[in-house]
Amino acid sequence: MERLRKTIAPLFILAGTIWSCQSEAIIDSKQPSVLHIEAVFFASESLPTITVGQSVNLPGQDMILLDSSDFMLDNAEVRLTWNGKPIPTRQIGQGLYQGVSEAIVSQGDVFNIIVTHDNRTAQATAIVPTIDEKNITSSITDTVTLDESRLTKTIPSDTASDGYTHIDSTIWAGSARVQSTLPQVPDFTYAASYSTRELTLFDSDWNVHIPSWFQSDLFTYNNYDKYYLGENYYGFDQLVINNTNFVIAQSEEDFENGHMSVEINYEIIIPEPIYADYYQLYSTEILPITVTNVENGVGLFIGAVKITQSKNQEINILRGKEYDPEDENHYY
Amino acid sequence: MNLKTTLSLILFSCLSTFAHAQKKHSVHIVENDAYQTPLYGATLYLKELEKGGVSNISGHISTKDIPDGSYHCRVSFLGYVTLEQEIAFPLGEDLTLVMTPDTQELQDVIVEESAITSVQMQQAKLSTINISEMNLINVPRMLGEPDLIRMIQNLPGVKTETDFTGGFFVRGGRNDQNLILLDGVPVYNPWHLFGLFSAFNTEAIDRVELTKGIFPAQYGSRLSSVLDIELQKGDTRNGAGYLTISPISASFSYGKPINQKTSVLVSGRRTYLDPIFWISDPILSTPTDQYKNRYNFFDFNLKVVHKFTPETRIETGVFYGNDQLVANNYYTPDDDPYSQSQLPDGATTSSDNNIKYGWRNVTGSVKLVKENEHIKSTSHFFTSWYLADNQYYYNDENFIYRTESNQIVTRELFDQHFTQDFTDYGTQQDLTFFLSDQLSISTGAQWLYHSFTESKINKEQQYGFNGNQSDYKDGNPTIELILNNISGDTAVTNSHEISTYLSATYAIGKLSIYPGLRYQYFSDGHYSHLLPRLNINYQLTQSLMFSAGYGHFSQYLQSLSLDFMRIPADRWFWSNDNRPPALGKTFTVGVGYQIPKVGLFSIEGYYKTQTGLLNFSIEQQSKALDTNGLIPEFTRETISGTGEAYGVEFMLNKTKGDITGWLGYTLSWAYNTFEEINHGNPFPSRVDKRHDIQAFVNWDFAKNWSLGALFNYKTGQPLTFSTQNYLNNPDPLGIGDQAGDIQVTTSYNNFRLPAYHRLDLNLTWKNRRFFKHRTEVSLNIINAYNQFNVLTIMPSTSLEALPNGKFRAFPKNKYISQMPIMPVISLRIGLGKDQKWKD
Repeated sequence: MERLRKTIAPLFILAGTIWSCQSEAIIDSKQPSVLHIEAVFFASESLPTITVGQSVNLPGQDMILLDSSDFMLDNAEVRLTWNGKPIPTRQIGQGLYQGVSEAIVSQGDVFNIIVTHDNRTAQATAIVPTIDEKNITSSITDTVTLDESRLTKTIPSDTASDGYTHIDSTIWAGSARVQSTLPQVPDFTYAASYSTRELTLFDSDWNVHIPSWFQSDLFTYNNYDKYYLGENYYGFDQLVINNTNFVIAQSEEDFENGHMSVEINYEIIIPEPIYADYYQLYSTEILPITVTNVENGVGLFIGAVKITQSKNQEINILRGKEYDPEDENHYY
Repeated sequence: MNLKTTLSLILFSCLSTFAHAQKKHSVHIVENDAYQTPLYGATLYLKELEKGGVSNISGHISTKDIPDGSYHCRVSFLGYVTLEQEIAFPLGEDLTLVMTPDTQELQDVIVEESAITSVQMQQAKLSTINISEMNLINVPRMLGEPDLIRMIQNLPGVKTETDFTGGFFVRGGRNDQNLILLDGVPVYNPWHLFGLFSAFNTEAIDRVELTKGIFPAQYGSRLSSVLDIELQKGDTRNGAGYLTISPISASFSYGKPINQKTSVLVSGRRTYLDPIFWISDPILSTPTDQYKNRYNFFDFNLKVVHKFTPETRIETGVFYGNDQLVANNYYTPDDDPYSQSQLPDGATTSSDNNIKYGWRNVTGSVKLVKENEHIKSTSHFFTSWYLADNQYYYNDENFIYRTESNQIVTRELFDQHFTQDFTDYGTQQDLTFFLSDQLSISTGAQWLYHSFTESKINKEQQYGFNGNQSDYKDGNPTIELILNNISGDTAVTNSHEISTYLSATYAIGKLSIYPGLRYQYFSDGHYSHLLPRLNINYQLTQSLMFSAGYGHFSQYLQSLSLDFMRIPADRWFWSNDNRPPALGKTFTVGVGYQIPKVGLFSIEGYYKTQTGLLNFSIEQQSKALDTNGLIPEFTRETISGTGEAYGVEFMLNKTKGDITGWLGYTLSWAYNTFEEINHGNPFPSRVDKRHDIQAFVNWDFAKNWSLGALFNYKTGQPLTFSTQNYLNNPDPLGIGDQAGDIQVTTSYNNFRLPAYHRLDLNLTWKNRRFFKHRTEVSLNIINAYNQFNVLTIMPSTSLEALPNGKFRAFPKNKYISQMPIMPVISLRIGLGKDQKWKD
């Protein structure tokens, strides 16, 4: 994008001469401070901690040092109801309040909160969505070819000349495509899938010199997706999501068997629709109205459904290419 | 009684009266050119009767109500030598009085205070400003370019968004609510240089009227105003021409009679920014990175008038305006990890980036005009074509990288193309019956066929080669398409817009009434509207007049853009079944006072409501920017809302003496309401600027010298901005989002930028000689005291949590300025034998 800007820059030389002036300025919007309420009620989980704070005016152009107490409010009056029934709350930290209940949140539950502090009152309502989990299905590629890929590890060392010990190793890895089908929801859905076989790789200190498209999948976190459905998916009754899961052979035994057991984990989060606005409206180009469902305040006070499923599946594996360090064209 | 019957009866009534009115002959006021061009607005004053009349658009003054007898008459018209002579009534035949242009400069014209002025006022409507009567040439010129629209932006009740924004906003209305007519033909996007200038060549303009209030029933399809521009006719030039040279462009205009019946006017303008790129391209270019950028604009006018008889003429005109920006970058990297040296034999790596922004207006018209004392008939056939063509394209050729399976991606192509192309074909018939001094009736009909095509294409393609590396080395690989994402939509609208109207001008003593009724039908969605219009003037004394008006308006075409930026990628929308038209109601009331030896002082209040206003939601605006390309991708999803605007305008227009100019003040409010924006609450529109002061003074302080000063003060523009910040949880779901923002903006356009004020100066040295041509040298200083007027804010405040539990805040909000001080010299050179200045 930088080069693109350079491309068009001379076209605006004229405009630039008249538009180039900018000045840091002491700008004060002179708005009053508002209360801030934040909490997400996940179905099948206990009550979350509720954050209660306030906004702070930050005019000027110099660095300002603020105490957390400027943002987080102690001794706020918090009135929480759960399906209409009052729930006592207690403060557990600066600006942190906890509803006192052992019960677990269910789909369809309604929470209402009224916060009062310094003659300011804000309120919000959260509704936990209702999703039919039975309609969620998944399948995985039945055969995966594993190629040998290079791993390196660099360990600080007092004895090595450059201060590091370099260790080389290899790993047999391949990709397994996972297809998930879930019911259509009108707004935002987050869906992720991963295999236990790839988790071991994440946990290691090894640098993985694997094919670029693998790297892309792994390290740019493309193996989960966020979907803003809305008008783009209007008319569909289900959503099909394809993920790439990284599969590694952890021993020669896997190849001897010709198959391995892979645990595929799915995580799907479907929040209240207002989260879609919150997610969509983030832009450095324009300053939109702050997305909030808090009356007379800011913050998100919402419900969400989190569905996690694990599935053990058998897949066939094939031994692919071996790693050849002499191969100049074998770029990783 | 249905509409058709009503119209027939009125028409019959008109014709009956018309027949009766034919018994008297009229005085015909013409100019002393070869074609005896009728003079509209000349006054005939009969001293003994202490009354008079004003010539109509065909130059005729009715004598029906003048008692028999001989009277001492005075005929006057601004800029012409006053005639005085005895005339005996009744006339035996039409009397033609020929007026000679006053060869003296404007400051030497002697204007008498008399009942003549009050006669002129009777026909003046407070909401209508005759801009061509104003001193357009001496208004300070941005970048040395005299510009009609820039001047209009400095009139009371008219606002602009920024120094860089084209268009104008009338009384809280939007930019697209102004009907811009060039010789009667609607022009859709007549801007140059991304809105910095209008596409109209000021030198070629003869008459300009801006009607801000209740415009006559003859006009429709817009809610807020009519800007009626009439180009000069060649016969008024007698071979005179002008060449205007400014730092960025040159324009010329030339007009002459070809023979006794035919005249031609031609004008053109082109920018010469090209040398900037001749210099900048080599500076920016390197052996691996080549730049080739171009920008130019061009406009052209041609008008041919042929008179068959003194009463009948045909006018043909062509207008062409074009802007084209092309930015090209050809890139061959040498420091890329997959650089040339690492590529297989014969493979190269390069990328080609292209940006094109272009827009074009073309109009053509043929108008047959027949006019005499009793009737004026105009038959008009025209077409108006508008094309906006914007493209962002890059093509990475042979940008090879290798994968484990030896897959070689050889070409990536991204093409974002957005075009809007619409053409109007129209025919119109207007008839005006001058039934008496007190009554004239106009009627007419218009048929417009709109053909509108819009296409948006996003193409993302990768061509690759799947095979062994050795295969590639040995020969040409087989290229396969491995990625093919093509999206976009095309909208085609063909619709008919049919309208008919009936209006009248009727004077009863001190009261003048201008009623009108317009019927409008739009085929796409089958919308039909009956739109009443009424203007009333009451002349209390010779100098004091009251005015009131009420009207309904409809609009079937709207353009949408980002709220904070106007670009040629604005998306236009026609009404259809799902998108009702915009409708407006306006009420005005005013008072005008003719101050002796000064000019007209007017106060006018207005209140207007509008429904069916289209907009993009905040989400859609955000998504439009969230694109891989450089062109905002607007959806076809629109939201609909309402508008409300009210205010009061004060204007003093001094047209006489060494010091001329105007002083205007507007106190106004403008709000919009959209259910999807600002929680459905009303919010101030971008042009809601409470106080607006405009002052222009032109002082002819010495022979051949004049000084023009233009001052503007405006309340700051509304903007959505906040310095209230909170500890936003950017990832409430715990999924790695970095969404949301820390600013608290709970209402839309909640903040106002600092007030805007600017002084522009124009110093003109007239009557110089340059290569034996009469020359005028102008020094224009825009923003003379270099006021830092704020264009917008770049918000940038960060909050950083420190390990000790404290927070470090960096508020780094920046103001971006508008136009700084800019001195520019321009030349205006007279061409041809008759170098009559049109000052």
